[in-house]
Amino acid sequence: MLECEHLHYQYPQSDRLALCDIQVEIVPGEFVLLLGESGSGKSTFLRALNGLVPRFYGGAIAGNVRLHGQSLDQLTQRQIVTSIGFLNQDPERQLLLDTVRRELAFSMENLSISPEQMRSRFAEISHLFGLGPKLSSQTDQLSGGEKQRLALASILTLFPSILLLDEPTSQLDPVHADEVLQLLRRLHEEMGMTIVMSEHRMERCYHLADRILYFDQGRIRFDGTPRQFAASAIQNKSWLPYLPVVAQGMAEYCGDQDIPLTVKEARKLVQKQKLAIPLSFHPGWGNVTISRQSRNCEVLSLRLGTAGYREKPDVLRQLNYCMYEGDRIALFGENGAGKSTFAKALVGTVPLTSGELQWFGKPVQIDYLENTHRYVGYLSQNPNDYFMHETVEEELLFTCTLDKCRTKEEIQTRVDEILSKMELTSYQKHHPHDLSGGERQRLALAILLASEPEVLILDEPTRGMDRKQKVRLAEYLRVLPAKAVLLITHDVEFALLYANRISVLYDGTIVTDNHPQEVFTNSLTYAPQMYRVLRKNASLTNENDWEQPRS
Amino acid sequence: MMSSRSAGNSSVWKSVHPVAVSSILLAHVVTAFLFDYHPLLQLGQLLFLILWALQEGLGKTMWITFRFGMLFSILFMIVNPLFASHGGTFLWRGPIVSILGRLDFTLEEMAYSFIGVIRLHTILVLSVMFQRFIDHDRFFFLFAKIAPRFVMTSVMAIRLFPLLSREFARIKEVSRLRGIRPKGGELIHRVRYYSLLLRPLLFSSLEGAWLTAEALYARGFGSGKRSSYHEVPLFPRELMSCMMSLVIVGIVIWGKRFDFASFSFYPTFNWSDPLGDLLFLTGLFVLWMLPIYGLRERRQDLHA
Repeated sequence: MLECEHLHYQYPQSDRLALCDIQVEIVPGEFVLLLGESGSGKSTFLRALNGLVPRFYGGAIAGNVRLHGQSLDQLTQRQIVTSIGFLNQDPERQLLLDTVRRELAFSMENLSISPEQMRSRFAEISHLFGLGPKLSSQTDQLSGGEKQRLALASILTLFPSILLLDEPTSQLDPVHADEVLQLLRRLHEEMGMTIVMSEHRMERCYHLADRILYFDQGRIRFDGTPRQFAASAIQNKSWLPYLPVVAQGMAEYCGDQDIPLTVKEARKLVQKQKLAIPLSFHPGWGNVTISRQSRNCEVLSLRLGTAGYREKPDVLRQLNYCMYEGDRIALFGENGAGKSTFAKALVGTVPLTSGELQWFGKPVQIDYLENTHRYVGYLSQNPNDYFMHETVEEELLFTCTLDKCRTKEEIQTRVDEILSKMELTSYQKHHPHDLSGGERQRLALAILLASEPEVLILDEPTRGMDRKQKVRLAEYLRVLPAKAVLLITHDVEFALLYANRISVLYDGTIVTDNHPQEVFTNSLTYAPQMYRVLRKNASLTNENDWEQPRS
Repeated sequence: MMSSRSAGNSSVWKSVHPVAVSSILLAHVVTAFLFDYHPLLQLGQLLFLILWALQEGLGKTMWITFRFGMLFSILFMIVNPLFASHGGTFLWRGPIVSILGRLDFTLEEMAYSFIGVIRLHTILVLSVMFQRFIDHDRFFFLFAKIAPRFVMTSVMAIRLFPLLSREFARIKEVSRLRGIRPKGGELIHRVRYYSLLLRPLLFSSLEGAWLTAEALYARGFGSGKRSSYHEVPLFPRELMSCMMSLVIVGIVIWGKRFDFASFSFYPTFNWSDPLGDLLFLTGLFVLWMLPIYGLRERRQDLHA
């Protein structure tokens, strides 16, 4: 169906090959999952499969890509688009028109499909995606998940036989990401669509794949089934982060058994083999060091805080919350629960309509609201918002000179110190936009640290990161010189790696606030995969309900 | 004029055929230029448009737009009289500068500039109305068969503004939390501050534009002949409004030929027929209302 023959590709103005000697054939009905670090060539490979590379990007290409036996060079854009649908990661930028109805018809109009055929396909896809009630909605009023589903629906109106997906859920929260992945599963299993997808949410999509292609520096290093990849990852530890967390956790307890790829499989294995898995094995376990009794130093607190936006109901209602010294808090909550509003209320950008904000037990002064950066460092979801200069070093120099009276030498020393701490020294002369996603996140953090805040509030810092990048980020965060850190996240596994306190915000109030062990043990939703494996059944709630070591 | 008070109902206008709405707005633009710099007619037209905009709940948006226009207006009000050398009623005589001539302010130059500002504000109100009353996708897709690339570029450019405005608000908030703010109230500090904020906005738009362009290509845009899913019929009332707009332009041209709307600023003010112009304006008020009334009735039919 799709075939690459000795494919090599180099981007314009790049000095290295983005794809190197790719030789692979994708057969009809396959679900192929592309794994590998950011920049390993996954996205370029996807774009080579539908001719975006080199037609759209330019650059030098050698080798051949064939679709149904015909070289892509000989096919027109229209012929390719008719057979291959392509979805990228940003739902916001893929929707082009005002309303759902028009967006859905757009691809068909481009291919000059007759109005009768359009109406028929329109009805079919609208039904499949349940878009009926939304057809007249404005596209900018949709949630991220709805936008991505609409973009996918619009592509599917062309009835392509192959779908190429570049991290389609990386910008979505877990609930919306699941919606998209379940839809893909249906398209693959029930309609036999060929899917080639790169994705970082292994725990949700690894088991859906028929085949894994592992990319490293533009080459395919592994081509086989998910089970074969899992077995190979045991031998090659650097591949382990590309397995679902449950497979990583169970790897050393499997012996000659297949590594379980889902929680269900892992639970079966634990029960069948009566495996003794101590809870302390997990990398995050050691982080739970702050006990509630030791929390006697309040840093930032909200007392009976009510806040919201003009002409809308209050988002936060009479909320009491306190951050203590040493806290590394992971704040969970569904979309619209008020997590970002809560963070913004803590930094004063969303004013309280009632209640009080306290800094070390005293009501905040005007200086806190005017010079928030000296007290609290706030990292927004998009690190690019922080980059205003030509080099990494200039960004930090600028921040360090903002309001502290220091000599030039002192400033330079401080900048060097931060660069070194965040491992950015080798990039100091680079343009911030030339850094990778993880590096950009570190630079944004470094910019915050330059103001020496005592509290850090990070809004979804792991969005779009792969597991390796997340582990590294957790390591950096652990050594930051902040008195307390509040992390807004949907990522339970990352919280397990980093947090020593878990809070859950629901409908404007904190409904859970506890030690990670207790939250993870008692929660159905906010439980990491290994906790789910070791739980006897979902309704049990105390420590005795956990599988105890039997050997 | 428009009996139903309907705050924020501009989106209802989007249900009307874009050709009908844009013909009314275009007739106003043409009229504003045909009026030339006639104080009474320019002020009268602006008053009419402001009343219409207020009636449609566009007050807030309109004032925000006026605030942006204000900076340009002040500059125009200073620069134009300063460098122009017309008028006989001197308010201030400055030095003679080589090439530029005498720097001065005359009453006539000031009045001329003021009417220029009025016309600018008329165009601003009309642009706000175009933004809020027209279903842009529907409007541009009228031309999709003739100029598909132009249409898509225009549609996306229009979509870009609210997107950029949201991004700019976010970047501004982030920079405030970083302690970045203008060092003082002077213009130079504000310019420096905003130029800093524009960089992340520019990068973000460039990256976003690339993704959008890629999505367009992958969805077959520009791959050849297009078809259209949306049929956009023009209803009789809408057709009548278009005709009425043409009639208004015709009447203004006719009026100009018969010396209505005649006013000269230089060397001193000369208004040949104030009463005739007042009557002419009154007539135009009635004519301007007719197509709006017709379309309002159509809107009510649609939303009944």
